[in-house]
Amino acid sequence: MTLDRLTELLDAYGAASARWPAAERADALALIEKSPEAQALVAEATALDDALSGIPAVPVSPALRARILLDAERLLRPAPQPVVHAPGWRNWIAQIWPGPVWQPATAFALSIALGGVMGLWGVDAAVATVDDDLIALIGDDGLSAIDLDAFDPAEEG
Amino acid sequence: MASDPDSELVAAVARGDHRAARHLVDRHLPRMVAVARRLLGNEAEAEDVAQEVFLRVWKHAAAWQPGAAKFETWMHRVAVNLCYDRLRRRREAPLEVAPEQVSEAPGADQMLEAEDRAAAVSRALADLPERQRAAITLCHFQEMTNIDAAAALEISVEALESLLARGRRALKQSLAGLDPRKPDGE
Repeated sequence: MTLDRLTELLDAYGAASARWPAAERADALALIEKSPEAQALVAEATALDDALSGIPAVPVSPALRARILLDAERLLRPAPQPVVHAPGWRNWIAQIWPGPVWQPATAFALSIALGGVMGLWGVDAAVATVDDDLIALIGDDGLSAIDLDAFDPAEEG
Repeated sequence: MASDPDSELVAAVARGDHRAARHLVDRHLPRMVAVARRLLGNEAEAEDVAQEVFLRVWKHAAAWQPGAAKFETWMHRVAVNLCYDRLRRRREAPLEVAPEQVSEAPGADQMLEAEDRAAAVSRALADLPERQRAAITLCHFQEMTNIDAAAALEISVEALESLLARGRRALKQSLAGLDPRKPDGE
Protein backbone atom coordinates (compact mmCIF):
# COMPACT_ATOMS: atom_id res chain seq x y z
CA MET A 1 0.00 0.00 0.00
CA THR A 2 1.40 3.38 -1.01
CA LEU A 3 0.37 6.86 0.03
CA ASP A 4 -0.93 7.45 -3.50
CA ARG A 5 -3.21 4.42 -3.33
CA LEU A 6 -4.37 5.37 0.15
CA THR A 7 -5.21 8.84 -1.18
CA GLU A 8 -7.29 7.22 -3.94
CA LEU A 9 -9.12 5.07 -1.40
CA LEU A 10 -9.86 8.06 0.83
CA ASP A 11 -10.97 10.17 -2.13
CA ALA A 12 -13.38 7.47 -3.26
CA TYR A 13 -14.63 5.77 -0.10
CA GLY A 14 -13.92 8.27 2.66
CA ALA A 15 -12.21 7.72 5.97
CA ALA A 16 -14.27 4.82 7.34
CA SER A 17 -12.19 1.71 6.74
CA ALA A 18 -15.34 -0.45 6.65
CA ARG A 19 -16.14 1.12 3.26
CA TRP A 20 -12.75 0.37 1.74
CA PRO A 21 -12.24 -2.64 -0.51
CA ALA A 22 -11.82 -5.67 1.75
CA ALA A 23 -8.70 -6.84 -0.09
CA GLU A 24 -6.82 -3.58 0.64
CA ARG A 25 -8.15 -2.74 4.08
CA ALA A 26 -5.46 -4.41 6.21
CA ASP A 27 -2.58 -2.92 4.23
CA ALA A 28 -4.14 0.53 4.32
CA LEU A 29 -4.64 0.38 8.08
CA ALA A 30 -1.06 -0.75 8.56
CA LEU A 31 0.20 2.21 6.56
CA ILE A 32 -1.95 4.64 8.53
CA GLU A 33 -0.62 3.27 11.79
CA LYS A 34 2.97 4.00 10.92
CA SER A 35 2.67 7.12 8.71
CA PRO A 36 1.78 10.58 10.12
CA GLU A 37 1.20 11.75 6.56
CA ALA A 38 -1.36 8.99 6.03
CA GLN A 39 -3.02 9.93 9.32
CA ALA A 40 -3.37 13.52 8.12
CA LEU A 41 -5.04 12.32 4.92
CA VAL A 42 -7.54 10.28 6.96
CA ALA A 43 -8.36 13.25 9.18
CA GLU A 44 -9.01 15.35 6.10
CA ALA A 45 -11.41 12.76 4.62
CA THR A 46 -13.26 12.39 7.92
CA ALA A 47 -14.71 15.90 7.69
CA LEU A 48 -16.74 15.10 4.56
CA ASP A 49 -17.86 11.76 6.02
CA ASP A 50 -19.17 13.58 9.08
CA ALA A 51 -20.95 16.12 6.92
CA LEU A 52 -22.68 13.38 4.92
CA SER A 53 -23.58 11.43 8.05
CA GLY A 54 -25.26 14.53 9.47
CA ILE A 55 -28.13 14.18 7.02
CA PRO A 56 -30.97 12.76 9.14
CA ALA A 57 -32.74 9.60 8.08
CA VAL A 58 -36.45 10.08 7.35
CA PRO A 59 -38.83 7.35 8.52
CA VAL A 60 -40.91 5.44 6.01
CA SER A 61 -44.57 6.34 5.86
CA PRO A 62 -46.87 3.62 7.28
CA ALA A 63 -49.25 4.25 4.38
CA LEU A 64 -46.55 3.27 1.89
CA ARG A 65 -45.85 0.07 3.80
CA ALA A 66 -49.56 -0.72 3.83
CA ARG A 67 -49.83 -0.13 0.06
CA ILE A 68 -46.91 -2.45 -0.62
CA LEU A 69 -48.33 -5.19 1.61
CA LEU A 70 -51.68 -4.82 -0.16
CA ASP A 71 -49.87 -5.44 -3.45
CA ALA A 72 -48.34 -8.56 -1.91
CA GLU A 73 -51.76 -9.72 -0.71
CA ARG A 74 -53.12 -9.28 -4.22
CA LEU A 75 -50.23 -10.82 -6.17
CA LEU A 76 -48.88 -13.59 -3.97
CA ARG A 77 -50.84 -16.83 -4.05
CA PRO A 78 -49.97 -20.04 -2.19
CA ALA A 79 -48.20 -22.45 -4.51
CA PRO A 80 -50.44 -25.34 -5.72
CA GLN A 81 -49.78 -28.80 -4.29
CA PRO A 82 -47.77 -30.95 -6.69
CA VAL A 83 -49.84 -33.64 -8.49
CA VAL A 84 -48.44 -37.14 -8.01
CA HIS A 85 -49.25 -39.52 -10.87
CA ALA A 86 -49.60 -43.03 -9.50
CA PRO A 87 -49.53 -45.90 -12.03
CA GLY A 88 -52.59 -47.99 -13.12
CA TRP A 89 -55.50 -48.44 -10.77
CA ARG A 90 -53.89 -46.25 -8.12
CA ASN A 91 -53.93 -43.35 -10.58
CA TRP A 92 -57.63 -43.98 -11.23
CA ILE A 93 -58.34 -44.00 -7.49
CA ALA A 94 -56.23 -40.90 -6.99
CA GLN A 95 -58.37 -39.05 -9.52
CA ILE A 96 -61.57 -40.01 -7.69
CA TRP A 97 -60.13 -39.45 -4.22
CA PRO A 98 -56.97 -37.30 -4.10
CA GLY A 99 -56.53 -37.84 -0.35
CA PRO A 100 -55.47 -40.98 1.51
CA VAL A 101 -57.22 -44.09 0.12
CA TRP A 102 -57.92 -45.54 3.57
CA GLN A 103 -60.53 -42.86 4.19
CA PRO A 104 -63.09 -43.86 1.49
CA ALA A 105 -62.19 -47.52 1.95
CA THR A 106 -62.97 -47.37 5.66
CA ALA A 107 -66.15 -45.42 5.04
CA PHE A 108 -67.24 -48.02 2.46
CA ALA A 109 -66.53 -50.94 4.80
CA LEU A 110 -68.32 -49.28 7.70
CA SER A 111 -71.36 -48.55 5.54
CA ILE A 112 -71.59 -52.22 4.50
CA ALA A 113 -71.24 -53.40 8.10
CA LEU A 114 -73.77 -50.87 9.34
CA GLY A 115 -76.18 -51.82 6.55
CA GLY A 116 -75.96 -55.49 7.50
CA VAL A 117 -76.58 -54.81 11.14
CA MET A 118 -79.45 -52.47 10.41
CA GLY A 119 -80.94 -54.96 7.95
CA LEU A 120 -81.01 -57.79 10.42
CA TRP A 121 -82.35 -55.60 13.19
CA GLY A 122 -84.92 -54.08 10.82
CA VAL A 123 -86.45 -57.49 9.80
CA ASP A 124 -87.00 -58.50 13.38
CA ALA A 125 -88.45 -55.14 14.19
CA ALA A 126 -90.80 -55.26 11.18
CA VAL A 127 -92.10 -58.75 12.03
CA ALA A 128 -92.59 -57.74 15.61
CA THR A 129 -94.48 -54.64 14.51
CA VAL A 130 -96.85 -56.62 12.21
CA ASP A 131 -97.55 -59.22 14.88
CA ASP A 132 -98.30 -56.57 17.47
CA ASP A 133 -100.62 -54.68 15.07
CA LEU A 134 -102.55 -57.79 14.12
CA ILE A 135 -103.04 -58.84 17.68
CA ALA A 136 -104.23 -55.37 18.58
CA LEU A 137 -106.72 -55.45 15.68
CA ILE A 138 -108.38 -58.76 16.29
CA GLY A 139 -107.55 -59.39 19.87
CA ASP A 140 -105.98 -62.43 21.42
CA ASP A 141 -109.23 -64.40 21.50
CA GLY A 142 -110.25 -63.72 17.92
CA LEU A 143 -107.10 -64.95 16.49
CA SER A 144 -108.23 -68.58 16.58
CA ALA A 145 -111.61 -67.70 15.01
CA ILE A 146 -110.17 -66.61 11.70
CA ASP A 147 -110.84 -69.23 9.14
CA LEU A 148 -108.23 -68.78 6.54
CA ASP A 149 -109.67 -71.58 4.44
CA ALA A 150 -112.89 -69.63 4.04
CA PHE A 151 -111.15 -66.86 2.22
CA ASP A 152 -112.23 -66.92 -1.42
CA PRO A 153 -110.03 -64.93 -3.79
CA ALA A 154 -112.86 -64.80 -6.38
CA GLU A 155 -114.85 -62.56 -4.11
CA GLU A 156 -112.12 -60.02 -4.18
CA GLY A 157 -113.05 -58.80 -7.63
CA MET B 1 -19.45 -15.43 -2.50
CA ALA B 2 -21.17 -15.25 0.89
CA SER B 3 -24.65 -16.72 1.13
CA ASP B 4 -27.47 -14.35 0.41
CA PRO B 5 -29.24 -13.45 3.69
CA ASP B 6 -32.49 -12.96 1.75
CA SER B 7 -32.56 -16.21 -0.20
CA GLU B 8 -34.83 -18.08 2.24
CA LEU B 9 -37.23 -15.16 2.53
CA VAL B 10 -37.43 -14.80 -1.24
CA ALA B 11 -38.09 -18.52 -1.63
CA ALA B 12 -40.89 -18.28 0.93
CA VAL B 13 -42.36 -15.26 -0.86
CA ALA B 14 -42.30 -17.25 -4.09
CA ARG B 15 -44.43 -19.90 -2.34
CA GLY B 16 -46.98 -17.22 -1.46
CA ASP B 17 -45.94 -16.77 2.17
CA HIS B 18 -47.34 -13.39 3.24
CA ARG B 19 -45.42 -13.35 6.52
CA ALA B 20 -42.16 -13.65 4.60
CA ALA B 21 -43.36 -10.79 2.40
CA ARG B 22 -43.84 -8.61 5.49
CA HIS B 23 -40.34 -9.45 6.73
CA LEU B 24 -38.86 -8.60 3.35
CA VAL B 25 -40.68 -5.26 3.34
CA ASP B 26 -39.57 -4.41 6.87
CA ARG B 27 -35.97 -5.31 6.06
CA HIS B 28 -35.64 -3.43 2.77
CA LEU B 29 -38.34 -0.78 2.45
CA PRO B 30 -36.45 1.93 4.42
CA ARG B 31 -33.37 1.39 2.25
CA MET B 32 -35.32 1.46 -0.99
CA VAL B 33 -37.06 4.69 0.00
CA ALA B 34 -33.74 6.19 1.14
CA VAL B 35 -31.92 5.49 -2.11
CA ALA B 36 -34.83 6.85 -4.16
CA ARG B 37 -35.05 9.97 -1.97
CA ARG B 38 -31.36 10.71 -2.46
CA LEU B 39 -31.53 10.24 -6.21
CA LEU B 40 -34.85 11.96 -6.88
CA GLY B 41 -35.10 14.53 -4.11
CA ASN B 42 -38.86 14.08 -4.13
CA GLU B 43 -40.75 12.19 -1.46
CA ALA B 44 -43.79 11.20 -3.52
CA GLU B 45 -41.69 9.96 -6.41
CA ALA B 46 -39.38 8.10 -4.02
CA GLU B 47 -42.39 6.28 -2.55
CA ASP B 48 -43.64 5.40 -6.03
CA VAL B 49 -40.24 3.95 -6.90
CA ALA B 50 -40.08 1.92 -3.68
CA GLN B 51 -43.57 0.53 -4.34
CA GLU B 52 -42.60 -0.36 -7.90
CA VAL B 53 -39.47 -2.17 -6.68
CA PHE B 54 -41.59 -4.35 -4.40
CA LEU B 55 -44.16 -4.94 -7.15
CA ARG B 56 -41.34 -6.45 -9.18
CA VAL B 57 -40.25 -8.50 -6.18
CA TRP B 58 -43.74 -9.99 -5.83
CA LYS B 59 -43.93 -10.71 -9.53
CA HIS B 60 -40.45 -12.14 -10.02
CA ALA B 61 -39.67 -13.84 -6.69
CA ALA B 62 -40.47 -17.26 -8.15
CA ALA B 63 -37.95 -16.74 -10.94
CA TRP B 64 -35.16 -15.51 -8.65
CA GLN B 65 -32.00 -17.60 -8.95
CA PRO B 66 -29.63 -17.22 -5.97
CA GLY B 67 -25.95 -17.02 -6.75
CA ALA B 68 -25.61 -14.44 -9.51
CA ALA B 69 -25.97 -11.42 -7.22
CA LYS B 70 -27.37 -10.71 -3.80
CA PHE B 71 -31.11 -10.11 -3.78
CA GLU B 72 -30.58 -6.72 -2.11
CA THR B 73 -28.13 -5.73 -4.85
CA TRP B 74 -30.76 -6.63 -7.45
CA MET B 75 -33.33 -4.53 -5.58
CA HIS B 76 -30.94 -1.58 -5.55
CA ARG B 77 -30.30 -2.02 -9.27
CA VAL B 78 -34.05 -1.92 -9.95
CA ALA B 79 -34.47 1.14 -7.72
CA VAL B 80 -31.57 3.02 -9.31
CA ASN B 81 -32.76 2.26 -12.84
CA LEU B 82 -36.30 3.38 -11.98
CA CYS B 83 -34.84 6.63 -10.60
CA TYR B 84 -32.72 7.11 -13.73
CA ASP B 85 -35.87 6.66 -15.84
CA ARG B 86 -37.67 9.36 -13.86
CA LEU B 87 -34.69 11.73 -13.98
CA ARG B 88 -34.50 11.22 -17.76
CA ARG B 89 -38.21 12.01 -18.11
CA ARG B 90 -37.67 15.17 -16.05
CA ARG B 91 -34.96 16.30 -18.46
CA GLU B 92 -37.21 15.58 -21.44
CA ALA B 93 -40.19 17.38 -19.92
CA PRO B 94 -38.74 19.71 -17.27
CA LEU B 95 -41.96 21.61 -16.72
CA GLU B 96 -44.05 18.52 -15.95
CA VAL B 97 -42.18 17.27 -12.91
CA ALA B 98 -40.25 19.77 -10.85
CA PRO B 99 -37.86 18.38 -8.24
CA GLU B 100 -38.29 19.64 -4.73
CA GLN B 101 -34.67 20.70 -4.29
CA VAL B 102 -33.19 23.88 -5.69
CA SER B 103 -31.32 23.16 -8.91
CA GLU B 104 -28.67 25.83 -8.51
CA ALA B 105 -26.53 25.87 -5.40
CA PRO B 106 -26.82 29.21 -3.67
CA GLY B 107 -23.78 31.00 -2.35
CA ALA B 108 -22.18 29.97 0.88
CA ASP B 109 -23.33 32.95 2.87
CA GLN B 110 -26.94 32.60 1.73
CA MET B 111 -26.84 28.91 2.52
CA LEU B 112 -25.56 29.48 6.04
CA GLU B 113 -28.32 31.95 6.67
CA ALA B 114 -31.17 29.99 5.11
CA GLU B 115 -30.46 26.36 5.82
CA ASP B 116 -28.97 24.28 8.54
CA ARG B 117 -25.87 22.28 7.82
CA ALA B 118 -27.63 19.02 7.02
CA ALA B 119 -29.89 20.72 4.51
CA ALA B 120 -26.87 22.30 2.87
CA VAL B 121 -25.20 18.92 2.51
CA SER B 122 -28.42 17.47 1.09
CA ARG B 123 -28.58 20.21 -1.50
CA ALA B 124 -24.93 19.78 -2.44
CA LEU B 125 -25.59 16.08 -2.88
CA ALA B 126 -28.69 16.76 -4.96
CA ASP B 127 -26.65 18.98 -7.26
CA LEU B 128 -24.22 16.23 -8.17
CA PRO B 129 -24.57 14.49 -11.54
CA GLU B 130 -26.93 11.55 -11.05
CA ARG B 131 -24.36 8.78 -11.49
CA GLN B 132 -22.01 10.35 -8.93
CA ARG B 133 -24.95 10.84 -6.59
CA ALA B 134 -25.97 7.21 -7.05
CA ALA B 135 -22.44 5.97 -6.33
CA ILE B 136 -22.14 8.01 -3.12
CA THR B 137 -25.64 7.03 -2.06
CA LEU B 138 -24.94 3.31 -2.41
CA CYS B 139 -21.48 3.33 -0.83
CA HIS B 140 -21.94 5.91 1.90
CA PHE B 141 -25.63 5.93 2.86
CA GLN B 142 -26.57 2.37 1.93
CA GLU B 143 -23.18 1.09 3.13
CA MET B 144 -22.84 -1.37 0.28
CA THR B 145 -19.46 -2.88 -0.55
CA ASN B 146 -17.71 -1.58 -3.63
CA ILE B 147 -18.43 -4.86 -5.42
CA ASP B 148 -22.16 -4.78 -4.61
CA ALA B 149 -22.48 -1.09 -5.44
CA ALA B 150 -20.71 -1.60 -8.77
CA ALA B 151 -23.04 -4.53 -9.50
CA ALA B 152 -26.10 -2.46 -8.63
CA LEU B 153 -24.95 0.32 -10.95
CA GLU B 154 -23.88 -2.21 -13.60
CA ILE B 155 -20.39 -0.74 -13.85
CA SER B 156 -16.87 -1.92 -12.99
CA VAL B 157 -15.33 -1.32 -9.57
CA GLU B 158 -12.81 1.03 -11.22
CA ALA B 159 -15.62 3.08 -12.74
CA LEU B 160 -17.35 3.16 -9.37
CA GLU B 161 -14.20 4.50 -7.70
CA SER B 162 -13.93 7.18 -10.34
CA LEU B 163 -17.56 8.27 -9.80
CA LEU B 164 -17.07 8.29 -6.03
CA ALA B 165 -13.87 10.33 -6.19
CA ARG B 166 -15.37 12.92 -8.56
CA GLY B 167 -18.53 13.12 -6.48
CA ARG B 168 -16.73 13.58 -3.19
CA ARG B 169 -14.43 16.18 -4.73
CA ALA B 170 -17.43 18.16 -5.95
CA LEU B 171 -19.08 17.89 -2.53
CA LYS B 172 -15.96 19.21 -0.83
CA GLN B 173 -15.93 22.20 -3.14
CA SER B 174 -19.63 22.88 -2.59
CA LEU B 175 -19.34 22.61 1.19
CA ALA B 176 -15.97 24.29 1.63
CA GLY B 177 -17.47 27.68 2.46
CA LEU B 178 -20.30 26.24 4.54
CA ASP B 179 -18.61 23.95 6.96
CA PRO B 180 -16.58 25.36 9.82
CA ARG B 181 -14.59 22.13 9.75
CA LYS B 182 -13.75 22.76 6.05
CA PRO B 183 -14.15 19.28 4.49
CA ASP B 184 -11.60 20.16 1.78
CA GLY B 185 -8.92 20.38 4.38
CA GLU B 186 -8.11 24.04 3.91
